[in-house]
Amino acid sequence: MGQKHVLITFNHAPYGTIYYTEGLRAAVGVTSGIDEHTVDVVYLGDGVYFTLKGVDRKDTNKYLGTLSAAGYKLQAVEESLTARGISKADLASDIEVISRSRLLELIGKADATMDF
Amino acid sequence: MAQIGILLTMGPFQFENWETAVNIAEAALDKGHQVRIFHYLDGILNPNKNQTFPDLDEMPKDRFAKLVAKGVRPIACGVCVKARGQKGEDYIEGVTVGGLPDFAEIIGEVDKLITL
Repeated sequence: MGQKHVLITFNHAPYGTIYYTEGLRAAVGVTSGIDEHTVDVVYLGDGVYFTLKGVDRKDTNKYLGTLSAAGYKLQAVEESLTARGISKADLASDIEVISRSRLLELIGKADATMDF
Repeated sequence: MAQIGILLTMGPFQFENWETAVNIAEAALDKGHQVRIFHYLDGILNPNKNQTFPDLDEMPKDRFAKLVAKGVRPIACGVCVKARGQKGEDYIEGVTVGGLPDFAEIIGEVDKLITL
């Protein structure tokens, strides 16, 4: 037992699979136990399509609200955005852009990682 | 001795993730490690005791039953179970229906987490 830091990455686009919302449910879930684990939530690969302005968040709002209230930011990898022709102006206001090298740091400091 | 955690999200029959999970679990057990398994999303369908498929000599449920016989106590996500029309009695002996707080507990206890 003990508090762990968990990195949760989203590699799948927010369409075609349920991962975009079930991964967030898992993120909320892992922070809910008595150990009070902490999380980083990072979008990369096709997962960054979730970070666009105007994406339907109906299924995810309650999880995003819980994570936001706990002080967690949604992070998107800059290289993944660039590769898909997505600029920072295209992103929703609650998205923080990080570099791939920063993602590597997050992987290094995480006790566990989960990919959705 | 280490504790290995496995988060299994993929279902039986269409993907090999469950088989990889079982193979890793068996290898870890053989080396004296402990294994914790959390079935999430379609992963909850793997230890369903009602599986039948004439093309396979051994069902996924049978491989999981062997892990149970070696002391593994898999937990299935209750929300996922209900979403898929499953019930507790649909599972092989030794598998319990729980929730994400159980997964949070697993994260707190394991040395390594594998997502499949």
